[in-house]
Amino acid sequence: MPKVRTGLSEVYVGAKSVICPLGDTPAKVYDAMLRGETSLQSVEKPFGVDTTSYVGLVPNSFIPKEHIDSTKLEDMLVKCYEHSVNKLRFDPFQDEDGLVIICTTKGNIDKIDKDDDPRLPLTRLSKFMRQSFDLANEPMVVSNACISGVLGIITSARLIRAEKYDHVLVLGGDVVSEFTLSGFAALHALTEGACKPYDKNRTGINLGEAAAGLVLSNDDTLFKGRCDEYVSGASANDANHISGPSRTGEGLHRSIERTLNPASVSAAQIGYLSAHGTGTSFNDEMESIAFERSGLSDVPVNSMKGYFGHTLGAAGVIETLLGLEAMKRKELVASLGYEEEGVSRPMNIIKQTTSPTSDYFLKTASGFGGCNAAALFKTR
Amino acid sequence: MQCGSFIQDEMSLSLKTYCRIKDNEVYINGELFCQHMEEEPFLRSVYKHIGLNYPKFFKMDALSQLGFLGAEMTLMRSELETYADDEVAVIYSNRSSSLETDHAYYNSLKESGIASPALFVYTLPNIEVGEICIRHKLYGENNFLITERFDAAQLLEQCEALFADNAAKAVLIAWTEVNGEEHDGFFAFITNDGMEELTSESLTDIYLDR
Repeated sequence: MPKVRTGLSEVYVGAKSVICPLGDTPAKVYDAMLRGETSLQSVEKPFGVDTTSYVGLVPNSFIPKEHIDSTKLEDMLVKCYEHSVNKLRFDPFQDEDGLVIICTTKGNIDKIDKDDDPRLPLTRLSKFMRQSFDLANEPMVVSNACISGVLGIITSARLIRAEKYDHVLVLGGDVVSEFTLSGFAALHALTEGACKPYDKNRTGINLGEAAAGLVLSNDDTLFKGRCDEYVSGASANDANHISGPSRTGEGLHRSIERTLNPASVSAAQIGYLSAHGTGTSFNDEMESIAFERSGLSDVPVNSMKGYFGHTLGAAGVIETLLGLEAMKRKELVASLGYEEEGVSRPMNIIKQTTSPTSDYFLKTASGFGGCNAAALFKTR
Repeated sequence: MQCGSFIQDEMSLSLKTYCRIKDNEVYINGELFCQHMEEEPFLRSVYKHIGLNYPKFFKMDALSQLGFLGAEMTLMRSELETYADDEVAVIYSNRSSSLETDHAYYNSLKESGIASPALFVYTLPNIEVGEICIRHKLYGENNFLITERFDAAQLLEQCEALFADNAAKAVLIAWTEVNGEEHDGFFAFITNDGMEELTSESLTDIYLDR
């Protein structure tokens, strides 16, 4: 049937799923966040790494083992797939017009200590998911550092708008391991104790693990329950440094401009901004500059990293879906760990639960390789 | 204009420039460009051959060096200066992500007990894309996709999706796989303003040709 398209065609987003230490449903996780709970805790030499930085680990009770050789990450992704598809009227991913996108930075990197473990390559995740659910298409794997999740969502919407697929499930996932912890420790990026995004006394990140899922579709009747609208999104590179944020926030600013302009939405119309806010000195400062340049200084903003840490490839998916949960409830949680102004440009950082100022929700992320991404949603 | 009445609204993808780096040889647009000189590692010999002076090259891991050189040779023949700094997207892909450097980082950690920050930074595949954006001052869209083999259909689908969303006017797509001294690189500059239509079958044939 020919489809009539005018302007930005509708893309709906819903069927949220999540596995993180705070809970295994979006409602449970957000309830815990509203109570001010955090999953970050002290672990004696986590994975053998000499650090006092808190970590957020998913308890095994959340994830029954799926298969004799499945990994923790795979078990988490399987659960998210099932939870998301249970919120749809049917499973569209066994048909050609459905696609699964897996967003991850390091996949099963916790298996690197075993010689030539066949689960180590990222292609294993796509094969495993395809076999587990009899998927029609090979899942796409996006591995673009800490913007992987937001980029997966943007990519999904673009593929739907270009009429390549009708329905896309975006899954994000990463686990905490010796590999990632030792690396961030070597970069002096881990904070002692709990992270404090945007705070004057912030000294770095905490690592957390999570998996999360979101379905994007051109058909709002696919969803059994509520869905919201994806409006627009963009990524942009800083063209500046491979591991240091731009001092001018150039890429993040450009990704926001290229998200808002095509949608004819102004910065003043944004009702809630879920920022990246890792808790490192340079990242948070860079964001404050980019947000000021983009006219977002007055928008209520938080970072969710204080609740479950930096979940790397999962971050964009879990934080987007919890942002949508926040918009649905009209309850934006405080930016946990923030006490005293600690960035050079003004930001309206949420200190206690507050309401969004409009139906527009903006999600941003930044990562190594100079990458940045923004995605805009409208609640229905 | 002879078939003007049949011009479709649908975009047609066009291949402007391509570069192949494989089996110690470099081909540009199908023509042999250079071969390995034995006195130094292959990628360094290519770097010298194109007369670059870019010290950062020597800090990169092999994956980034491969991706960087392919981008250099492709972009310098693609009239890059005619595009605004955010109109060219960079979409790279491979099978092994950064696994070679992952092992190098982890082995050095296990052997010395000290984690190397310089190695850890290269344990993300998209660092390669970052190096290219820095070199050519590209502020456009990025993505890094992991596929079992060179997947022309998936990469061209990405180009179409970017063009349809007005997110790019051209895309540098690539496949970059490194396995020890073996390199398998393919780089293509794709636009949507060409006359000859590019299909995933024809792009796969070009990739397989060398």
